[in-house]
Amino acid sequence: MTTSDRDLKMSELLLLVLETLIPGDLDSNLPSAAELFKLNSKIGEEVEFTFEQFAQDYREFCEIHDRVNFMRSDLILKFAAQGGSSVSPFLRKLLELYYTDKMVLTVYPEFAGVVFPSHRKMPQNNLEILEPVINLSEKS
Amino acid sequence: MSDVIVIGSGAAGAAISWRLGSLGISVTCIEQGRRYLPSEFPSNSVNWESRKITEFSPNPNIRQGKHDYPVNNNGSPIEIANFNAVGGSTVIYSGHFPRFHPTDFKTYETDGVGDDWPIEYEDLVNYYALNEKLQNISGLVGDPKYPDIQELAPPVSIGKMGHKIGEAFNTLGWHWWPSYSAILTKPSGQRNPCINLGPCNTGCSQGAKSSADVSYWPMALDLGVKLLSECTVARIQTTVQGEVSAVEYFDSTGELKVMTARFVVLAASGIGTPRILLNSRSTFQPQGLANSSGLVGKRLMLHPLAYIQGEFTENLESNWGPQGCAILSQEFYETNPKHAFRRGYTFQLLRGPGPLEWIISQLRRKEIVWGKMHAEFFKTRFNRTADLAAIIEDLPDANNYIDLDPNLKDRFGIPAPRVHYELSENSKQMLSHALTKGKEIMRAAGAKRVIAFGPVKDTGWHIMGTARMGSDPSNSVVDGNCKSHDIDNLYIVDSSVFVTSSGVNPANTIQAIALRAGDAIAKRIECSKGSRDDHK
Repeated sequence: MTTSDRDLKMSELLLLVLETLIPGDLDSNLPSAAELFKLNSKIGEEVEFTFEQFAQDYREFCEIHDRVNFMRSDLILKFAAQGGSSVSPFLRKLLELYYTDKMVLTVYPEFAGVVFPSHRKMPQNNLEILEPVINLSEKS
Repeated sequence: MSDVIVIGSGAAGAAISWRLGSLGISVTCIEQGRRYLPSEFPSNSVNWESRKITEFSPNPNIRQGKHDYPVNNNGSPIEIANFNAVGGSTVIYSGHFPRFHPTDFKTYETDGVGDDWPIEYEDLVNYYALNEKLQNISGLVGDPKYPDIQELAPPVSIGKMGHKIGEAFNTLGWHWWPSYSAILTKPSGQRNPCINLGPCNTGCSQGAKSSADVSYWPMALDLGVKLLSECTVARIQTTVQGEVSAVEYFDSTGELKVMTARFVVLAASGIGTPRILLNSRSTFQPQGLANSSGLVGKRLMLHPLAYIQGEFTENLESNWGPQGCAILSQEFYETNPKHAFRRGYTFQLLRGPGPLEWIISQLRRKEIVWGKMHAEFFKTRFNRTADLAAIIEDLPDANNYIDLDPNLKDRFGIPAPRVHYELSENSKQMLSHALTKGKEIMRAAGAKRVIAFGPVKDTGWHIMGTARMGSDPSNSVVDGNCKSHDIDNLYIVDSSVFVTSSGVNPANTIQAIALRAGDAIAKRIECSKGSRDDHK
C-alpha cells in the first residue's frame, strides 16, 4: 500500500468514526461531527492530530476480536465505549471541538444566551422557603 | 519615592492600596500580571470552555502564561490554583463572600485545636462592613448564622436548583441561606448587575462580579495610587540594620529595576508571599526575610474540597446564574462533640458545569453514550445536576509547608515554590462526614443518583497560614497589625497571615484584614509626619 493509499484509508476511517460517534440530528439541525470536520479545516487539523493513535489502537482492537473489516460502526462504538487511555485524548478533543462549536451550541436553547452580552432571565427567589430556617433558629 | 510599595494587586493588595490612597498616603503597587479588558474574557465567545481549560485555567502549570510562575505540586494531593493579573485570583474567583465566624479567631480557646488569633472578630467587624459596602455585596440579612450583618444588596437568584436543594435542607431540618456574593444584583456606578451567564470563573465580561480589578482598582487609581503591571518582584532588599530598603523587580521589558519606599507591603498570596520572602534571603537573613521564627512557608492550610453531585430527572437549569453563588449551609460549621473531628465546614451550592465540562465528566466516568442516541443523551441529561461543595476547615500543621524548589524556576530564573501537603486525620474525618451528609441532602432532594468524591485535585485556591499572625515573635511571623516581628517597615496582608483557615471562602476576611492593616500603616506614617512637622 502506498503512502497516499494509507492516507486515504485513514481519512475514510476518521470520517466514519466521526459520523458513527456523533451522527447529528436532522430534525433539530444538529450537525454531525463529520460535517463539522468537513466544514472547518481547523477542527480537521486538531482532530487528526490525536486520531493516529486512536486508529492504531482501534486496528489492534479489531485484530484481537478477529475482525478483518474495521470499517464497521458497531466495532467503533464498542471500542469508544471502552474509553481507554489511548482512546481518551482523541475523544476528549472531539468533544471539545464539538461542544464549543457555534452550530452545535445554538441548537440547544439552554445555551442560546451563554455568550456575552446575551443574558438569562432567572426566576425570582421565593424567600418563604426560608421560614423553616428562621423557625429552627428561634427554637434553638 | 512612594511612602508604600504594595506587592500584588489581588484581593489584599487592591484593598490596602485603596485604603492607604484614601488616607492620603502615596502608594505604588507592583503586579506581575497584566490588566485584562472585559472584552478579552472567554464568555464573549462560544469557545469559552476551551479557554477555561487552557489560558484561563486556574492551574498555573496548565496555563503557563507569560506572567505565571510554575508550582511543584508533586508533594500534594491538592494542586495550587491562582491567577496572575491586575486583580489577582479574584479575576477568576467565584465571588462567594461570607465572613468568618467569631469562633474562627479562637479555635484553641473554644475547641482545643489550632491556635488563637491575636485579633478577634470584633476587631474586624467594621472592616467587614466597609468591605461589603464598597463592593455592594449581595445576600440576605437575617441569617441566624450571621446575625450582625445589617446591610446587603438583594441576593442573586438561587434558581430552580437552589429552590430544590433549599427545600431538601428544610426536609432535613438543617440550616441554609442564600449566598453572600460579590456579584452585583443592582447597578453600581459604571457597573451593571449580573446577567446570569454563568462563566464567572473565566472573568466577568459584564463587570458584575466584584473582582478587585473592577471594584477596588478604579477607586484606587482615582486617588492617585500608581499601579505597575507586568512587573515581577525578584526579592526584597534589606539594610544591615535589618530594615527593608528596596524592592528588586523585572519590569515589563525584562529589565531589572530597584524601587525604594518607607514601607513595603506583601500581598502576593499565600504562596507568592512566602516565595518572595524565602527568595530574599541574605547574609543577614539566611533563612529568608522575616523568618526568625522559621515559620515562613510553614503551617500551610488549603481547604480540602468535598464534591457531591446529584442527578435529577427534570431540567434544573443548573448552569444558569453566577457559578459559585447560590446557597450555603453552615449546619456543620461549629464543633460538635458527637463528630469524629473538631471544627467544621460550609456547604456551598455551585451552579452546574458548562456543556463541555459536563460531557467530559461523562467521558471520564465512561458513561457517555455514543452513536445515534448521543444527542438524546445530552438533551435529557445536561443541566439536570445539582453540585454541592463542602469547604473543609483545615487545621494548621507544621508538616504542611511551601519551600523553594531547587530546580524549578520561572522565566527570570527566580526559584519556584514547592508544595508539601497531606490531609490531616481531622480533615479526612471531616471530608468523609461532608460526603455522607452531602449525599443525604441529594437524596432528600430526590436525586436519582449521587456521585461524591474528595479531596478535589484542582482546588487549591485558598492558600493560607504561611506567614502566620501572632503575639509571640518566636512562633509567628507578623503581629496583629500584620507588621513583621523582625522587620519594622515590612507588612504582610494576604491570607499568609491566617492563623486558622475557617470553613468559608477567605476573600472577605483577607480584605478586611488588609483594610485594617492599611489603617495601622497610615497611622504610623501620619505620626512620623506629625513629629517631623513638629521639628520644623
